[in-house]
Amino acid sequence: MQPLDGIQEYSRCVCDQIRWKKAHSLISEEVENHLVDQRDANIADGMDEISATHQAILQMGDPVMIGTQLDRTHRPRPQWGMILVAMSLVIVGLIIRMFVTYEGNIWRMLTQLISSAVGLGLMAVAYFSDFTLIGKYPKTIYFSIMALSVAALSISPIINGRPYYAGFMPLLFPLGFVAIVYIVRNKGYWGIILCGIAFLLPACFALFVPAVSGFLLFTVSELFIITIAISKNWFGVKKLHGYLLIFIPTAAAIFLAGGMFVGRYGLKRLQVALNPSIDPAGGGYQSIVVRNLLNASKLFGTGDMPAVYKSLRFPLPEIDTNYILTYLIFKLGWIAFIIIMSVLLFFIIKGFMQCFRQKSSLGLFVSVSIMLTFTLQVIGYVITNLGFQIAAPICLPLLSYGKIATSINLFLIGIMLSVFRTGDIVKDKYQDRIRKDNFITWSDGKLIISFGRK
Amino acid sequence: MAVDKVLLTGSTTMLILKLLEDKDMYGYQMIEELSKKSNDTFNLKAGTLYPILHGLENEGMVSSYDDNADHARIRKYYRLTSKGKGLLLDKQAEWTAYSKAVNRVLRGGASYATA
Repeated sequence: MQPLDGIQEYSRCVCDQIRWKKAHSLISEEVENHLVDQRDANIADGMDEISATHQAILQMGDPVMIGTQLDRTHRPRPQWGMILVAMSLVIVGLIIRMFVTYEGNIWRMLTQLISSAVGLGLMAVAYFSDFTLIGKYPKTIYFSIMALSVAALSISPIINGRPYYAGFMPLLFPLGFVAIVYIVRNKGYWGIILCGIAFLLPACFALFVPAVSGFLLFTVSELFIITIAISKNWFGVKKLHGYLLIFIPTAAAIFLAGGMFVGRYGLKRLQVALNPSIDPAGGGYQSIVVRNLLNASKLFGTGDMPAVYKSLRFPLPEIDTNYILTYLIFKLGWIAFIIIMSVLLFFIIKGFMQCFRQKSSLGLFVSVSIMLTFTLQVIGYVITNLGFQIAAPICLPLLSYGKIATSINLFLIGIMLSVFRTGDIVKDKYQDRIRKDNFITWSDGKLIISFGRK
Repeated sequence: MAVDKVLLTGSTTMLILKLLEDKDMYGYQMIEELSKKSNDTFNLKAGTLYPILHGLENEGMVSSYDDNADHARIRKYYRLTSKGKGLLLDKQAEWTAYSKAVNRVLRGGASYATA
């Protein structure tokens, strides 16, 4: 047997004892490296290669015993707690809508049941899938999401003047964006610029729909993700320069967009969101109704309906879609809000804690992008339901009405739980760090701006 | 001088953490370093080291990364985390108390052993 064959045979024997096959490559690489180091040391001590290899293997110990011990350490981490919380939210959402808001609309209930079942199926598929495919085929993932969005835009029915399906596509954009972030590792300032370009395409799509909430969700997620990437030295640039490269154009874009496109309308919208009484019959109407209902709500039980709304069944439209929290606070009391928010907060805190435990940057980026998508939807929905409406909320994840939103959210949660389940054995591909050049240098009478492109 | 393996078993985790306190190392380097620092007293087997290292990594006591520091090959380096530093302090305190107690008994239980 050739010396190298002996080393590989040994590591194979170690791996044979480890039931989790995905962990094999990681372990065999380390074991083989160790044996090669030991063999080289033995050769340096005067042994021939065959004896040196044999001795190295003997020094390592019994492969079956090592493999058995490593088998105890290397197991997938099932995410039953998080799965249970996600499923409970779906079921509670269905129950709330069935008993509190639907009042006999069987067809609407049936379609929700089916979409929830489809969503849970998607979550299961994603949970058992290999999330590292995002790192292997990042461009395919990114452009598939864009293609899906364009398809959704073209086949979508127009509801309230907007293509309905396309409004949910921004939920997938942060995931597509992290795929691009992942491939520009150590690409310097050019990598950050490429991320900016990768941001523009979906952002323009969201503005074109228009999906204001989706645009805000994607923009905030993108800023968080890129900030985390820079803080982890992902691009191989000076952190301060990296942050400036992100936040100066962002601030400029906000200023320009504010001045050129949004103008007085945007400013008024913001003013109305903060103080709806300045436009009580227009943009501020629903926020005023929400605030009136909340003021009339109790801690426990149904609130006292203000006299002005007594003739109406309920003074807000699309309760189960946009105002389920306001409705529950008024009908059941603030206690319902406290309970729901506690469960959502538990899910969010536990999710983020698991995100930042990830060993690989891919695992971190993917899981953070999904947790941000989830959290920002919750924040957007809650502020609307507390009487501060800047843009129509996308949904309250898993709880409010929404076939597409529920399915997408469950699919994303499945991917995130797949990261938590198998992230321990995922590692980023090794790359030599690039030499840190100055961004701007003066040489031979020339001003050189280096984007760090290699 | 080689020591009874049983004596080494109880303190292996502490010794590994202590090695990583100074600098990041890969597995083979740790065995060499431990042997050197202990005048060949502690000859840790690789088969003992890796299950402990992987267990410590799972518990968040150490983290790992790939590097090509000596340009020979890409190796998996281990780094002590802040949680691991806490465990090392606990283990050191435990070891000090234990060794004091053993010494006290070996000296016939005299109270000056702890003075």
